[in-house]
Amino acid sequence: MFEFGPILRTLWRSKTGALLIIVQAALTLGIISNAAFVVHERQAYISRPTGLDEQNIFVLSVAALSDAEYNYQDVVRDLQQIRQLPGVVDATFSLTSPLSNSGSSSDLSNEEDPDHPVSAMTDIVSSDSHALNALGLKLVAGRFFNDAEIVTASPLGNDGTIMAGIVITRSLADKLYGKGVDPLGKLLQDAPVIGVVESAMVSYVAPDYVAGVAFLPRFISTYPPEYIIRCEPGALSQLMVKVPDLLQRLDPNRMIRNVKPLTEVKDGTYRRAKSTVKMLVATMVLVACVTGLGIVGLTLLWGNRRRRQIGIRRALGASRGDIIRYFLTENLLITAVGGMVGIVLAIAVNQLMVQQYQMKALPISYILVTTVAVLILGLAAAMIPAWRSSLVSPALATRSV
Amino acid sequence: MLTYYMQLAWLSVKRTPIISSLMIVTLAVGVAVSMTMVTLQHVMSANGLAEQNDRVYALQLNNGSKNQGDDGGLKNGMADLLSYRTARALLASHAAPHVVAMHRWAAAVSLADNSIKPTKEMVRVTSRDFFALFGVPFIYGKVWDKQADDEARYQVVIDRTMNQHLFNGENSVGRDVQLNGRPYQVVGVVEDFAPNPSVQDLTQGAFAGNANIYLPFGLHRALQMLPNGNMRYSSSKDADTSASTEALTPEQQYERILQERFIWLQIWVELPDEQTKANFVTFLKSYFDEQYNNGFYERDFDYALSSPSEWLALNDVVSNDTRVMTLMALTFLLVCIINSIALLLAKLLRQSSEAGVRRALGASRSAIFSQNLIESGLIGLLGGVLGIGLSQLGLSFVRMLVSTEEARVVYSDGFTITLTVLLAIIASILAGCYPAWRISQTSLAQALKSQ
Repeated sequence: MFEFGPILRTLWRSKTGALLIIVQAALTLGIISNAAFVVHERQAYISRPTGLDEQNIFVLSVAALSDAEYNYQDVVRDLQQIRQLPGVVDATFSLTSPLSNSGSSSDLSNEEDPDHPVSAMTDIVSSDSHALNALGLKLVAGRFFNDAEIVTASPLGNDGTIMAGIVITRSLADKLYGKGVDPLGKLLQDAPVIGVVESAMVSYVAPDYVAGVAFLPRFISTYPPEYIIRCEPGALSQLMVKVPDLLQRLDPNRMIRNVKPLTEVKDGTYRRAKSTVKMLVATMVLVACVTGLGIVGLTLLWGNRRRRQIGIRRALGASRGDIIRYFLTENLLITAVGGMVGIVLAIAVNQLMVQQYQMKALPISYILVTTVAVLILGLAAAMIPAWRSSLVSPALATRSV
Repeated sequence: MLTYYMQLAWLSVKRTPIISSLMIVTLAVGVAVSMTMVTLQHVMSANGLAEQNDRVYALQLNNGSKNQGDDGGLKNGMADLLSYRTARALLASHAAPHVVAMHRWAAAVSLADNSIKPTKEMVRVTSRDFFALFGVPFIYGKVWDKQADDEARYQVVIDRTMNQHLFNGENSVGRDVQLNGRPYQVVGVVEDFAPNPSVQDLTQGAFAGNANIYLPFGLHRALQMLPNGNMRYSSSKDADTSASTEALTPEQQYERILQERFIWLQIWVELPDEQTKANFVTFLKSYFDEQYNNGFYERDFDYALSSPSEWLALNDVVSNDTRVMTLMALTFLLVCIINSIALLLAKLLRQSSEAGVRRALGASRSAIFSQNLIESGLIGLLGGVLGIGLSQLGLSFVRMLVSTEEARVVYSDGFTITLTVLLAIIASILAGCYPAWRISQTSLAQALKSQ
């Protein structure tokens, strides 16, 4: 039923064209499978859950116009006023914006066994009692600190006062004390752990940088504070205007800067990965279009060249379906060979990328799915020209050009 | 003859409008995509200090703690930052003709008469050699005195852009600028120095190290300046315990930052020849050994002096993602070229009977070849021109995706435009040559027989 023999013989006689399509299909497969894999990896990286109520939070930073240190009482006044505004769920301060990939981090060690300390790089968030609610996080054990426990400090972290308590995420507790172990009451940086929060990303999104987050009841007076405001759904955009106005009214002698929704901060942090994804998707779409249209054009030309031949076959009793099938089988043969070459090529290119550019190895599933996709692309592209060729009337065979 | 062939080519293109435009668009898209990526990579790999490449070097020392991994370090295992104490020792020595120790800072900028709206601006706090080492010429005034690098002098150098913003470009030497509300006297105005990527300071991203305001290096204690950027404590001694035994005054705390191994400064040195370089390394080794013996350094002596181009490579300014995408874009161009060859071949072979007639009437093979080459060349040319246009579209797409600092520089320059034109020509010749040659090889008898 499939005319493999005649098809192969015909192809052999005009092998250059077929060869070019094979190479093109192979390269297409190599590009698409590798690009799809990188896109998938970056997407997975971008879409890791943060645990924060991202959609309803915005941030801003307050900068003084003079060398003076920042006064904690001013911050308390600001935040109290902000919390009064209708539509505000809660507000707090921190050193940097959440999800900005910048902040304060420190290597914390557990104090279980002084000879073999277990340490973990920790995202240190200095804030007040409203931090949990303003970020949208949940406490899973113990308690969060209260505002009476807040100390004022320089960024070096010490004016001699020991903190009343420290609250850590479950992920940090797992790293420091073992999976599922209750850390309450244990000492960390000379302060007892008083609460555990569900695992979340706060300042940093880089996957291998920090093991978890520690919340400290502390105000750092030498850096401009960042305010974090959580709003009721739908109130964000109007509050992004109202809050800076309010702050400017409370104290006009300062700058209110970088008023941004948290989603925008996050976009900025992931900008590189996001632009890679978009550029690769564009490349994938374009290469599929070029190859698809190329096959359309070529099948069209081949069909035109074989008009007499098709006419003769039709006159000898071949149905239109037979003609279409001939073209599709021919196309399938070519793209299948291209696919096989492409599989080898994709693996080779990926190996090169693994060695030269620290990329990950391409899973075989990507290659197989892409191969099927390229075969379907080829068939779909050949369909219309094949159908057009099948319209050639048998009478054509009886006429000469 | 040529005009006749052009006419024939144009007729032939017009006869198969769909296939011809398909070939043109394919080539154009291939050229555009690859040029967009090549431009991006070209911009990222630009070296604004190429002229100083064999003279100035970024310094790294093996100043990590002995039980820490390589965290925070560059690919060569050493941190990109140095301590204040080391910077002071190098500034005091005469080991190199010019030594620059610097960091990024930020300040609210205003004028006493409130004639401008206060803004937060990046400031570079640096030793006075900065301008000589990086070759930044003065328009007005001159650099601050040597003393201003050692003790607090409230002086400032601004660049042309900032001078325009603050003083409408007048000679502002002697006038005051307010930084965080404190007056600083302008001692000089320099030309803008803003290489992209900002090779002199890559610590906050490849395009975030340029500043319009320069402050002397002697202000640290007076202002208790901390960098607007990274500061790491890189000693195995516990940072907190030594202080927690008794409360320190803010001055004592700040002194600890200056004297202990808090690393936060970038150092560049000018070493014009091999001899000075060798002398400098000798000095570095004796200094390091001395500090190792008194316990300041914990690791074995090691250093790196990187030229601007080496520094860019070491800091991975051209990311692997960019390289992979450029590779894919060039492969994509190959696909487009192959696609055009296949289409052109099929199209020309269909016209082989015409070639047969011409041959029968006495045309030589080379005449057939050149006729067909002109046809494919025409297609290549149209594709190339369209490709250059499309690559501008591609670049504006890229500009929407990257950061604002980067978007400002992602434009094609003379080099990339020339490359695009060249690429388009090469692509069209590659796409046209083979089909034209194939058709000129058609045997006369066969071509006529198929009639």
